[in-house]
Amino acid sequence: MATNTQITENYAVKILIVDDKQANLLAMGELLKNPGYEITKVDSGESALRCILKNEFAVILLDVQMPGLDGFETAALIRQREKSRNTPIIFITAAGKNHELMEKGYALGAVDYIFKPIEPSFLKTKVSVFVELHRRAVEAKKLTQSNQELEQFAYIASHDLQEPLRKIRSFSELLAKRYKGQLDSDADDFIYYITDGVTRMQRLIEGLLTFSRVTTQGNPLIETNFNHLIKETLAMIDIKIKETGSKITVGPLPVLKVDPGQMMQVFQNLILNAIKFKGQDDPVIHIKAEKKSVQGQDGWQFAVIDNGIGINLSQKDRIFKIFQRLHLRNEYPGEGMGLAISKKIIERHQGRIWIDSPGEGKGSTLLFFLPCQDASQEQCQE
Amino acid sequence: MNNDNRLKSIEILYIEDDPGDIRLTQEVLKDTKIKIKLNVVTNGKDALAYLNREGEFATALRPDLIWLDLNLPAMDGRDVLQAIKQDEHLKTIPVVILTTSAANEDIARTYALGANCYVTKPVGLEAFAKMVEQIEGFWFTVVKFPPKM
Repeated sequence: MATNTQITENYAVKILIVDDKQANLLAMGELLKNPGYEITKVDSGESALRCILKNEFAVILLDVQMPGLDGFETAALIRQREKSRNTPIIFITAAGKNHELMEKGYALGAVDYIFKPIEPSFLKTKVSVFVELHRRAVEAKKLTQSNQELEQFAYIASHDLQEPLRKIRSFSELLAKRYKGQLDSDADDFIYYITDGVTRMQRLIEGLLTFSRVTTQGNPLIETNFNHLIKETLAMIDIKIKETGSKITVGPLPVLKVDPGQMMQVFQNLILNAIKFKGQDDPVIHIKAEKKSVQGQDGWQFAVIDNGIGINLSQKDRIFKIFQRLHLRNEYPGEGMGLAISKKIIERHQGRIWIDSPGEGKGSTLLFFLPCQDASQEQCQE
Repeated sequence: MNNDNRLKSIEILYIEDDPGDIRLTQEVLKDTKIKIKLNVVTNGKDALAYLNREGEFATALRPDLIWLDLNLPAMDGRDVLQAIKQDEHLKTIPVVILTTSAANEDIARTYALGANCYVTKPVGLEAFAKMVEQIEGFWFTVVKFPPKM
């Protein structure tokens, strides 16, 4: 319990007990008494339905034998209401184990049965399991929501930040163009620092925008031939490849369901990184994929292997964080966005990305695993 | 040939509320070869008054080209565009949308309303100057305008 108090103590979980006998209601209420629970007791199916309209319950304890609406009829009506469609119902009955009865209950959406006389610890445990499930569902919902809000925020912020920045940049550039060399050398320096800073900030914001767009504006996943995708990617960065004398070889690649635009972005980032962090020799890069099964999940493991400066593996997680750089800007320019964006894209595809290196100066290998999205095995065949 | 435009300066109506963008455009136009008279209004109401030569704009000349920002206070750029394109006398004036928005729905919607071209304001002085130059180059040397009424 203690582990969860931090996030759950600010609200009590609602439990509904329905039983036509006051004595039973009282007894069960006493039994379940817990500061984390808010217990509502009603003595008929009709009142239960009224309660459900107004509240969201973690679990409903429902007596089967009641005058008026009995437990089964009540359960059927509870299931018809949108709000309570998935609320767990535990039937409580004195009828003894009767298979026919139990089946009827399960068909109506019961999740469990408790037989009278009630064993106190048994009831408590069952209820606490459903309470815990409910709390987790609520937390998960909240997390998803706040994630979405954060992404939306990043998108709006970066979009709106661009506007004033555009102005600072244009006018400082205009200042530089008109007055460079006409003021003193200090002024020229200052103007340089302003334009340089603004240009960089702009790249950061563009990066942030791209980062937030990975999930907010991603395209649907479609069957994509990676052999074609790589060809297109290489064509896009052809100038850079030629300029740097890079040699790139590509092994046979699979067909997988992905967002092709995003996947091209990943390969472009990884290849440009391999070129940027080159060692003494011209870059030699090999791209390959092999079929793998990771934790029982079939998929493909891609590798981009280079002969560059390599990496100290103690830094291997840092490089995937947004805005993180391992080198001085004047050694290796860049804003530290490429790998963070790639990671987010791979995670959107339920995959994972990591780096391996035999050590500094010995090249590095960027690896990522993409699971086959469909259960259909075809997907995983070449 | 209906090229007497070339002799007098070319009239542009620039509908833009951002003083920075107005100034920047003016500065960039200073360096341009083509003789352009940039007339600026900062809201949609003034734009329509200008085009219809009402009030203080009674002596305004009919522009050869309209540059229109989409995000205007009160009467939005889209409304201004619609008003121009639904007006028998005004609809032949080419309208260039100049905006920061690169949203597909804005692009689609403004073309549907009859915009003649859609340009996203670029970042950086050089790119901005180049854009102005290209707009000029296209509209004032490549394109033939509709005859003046």
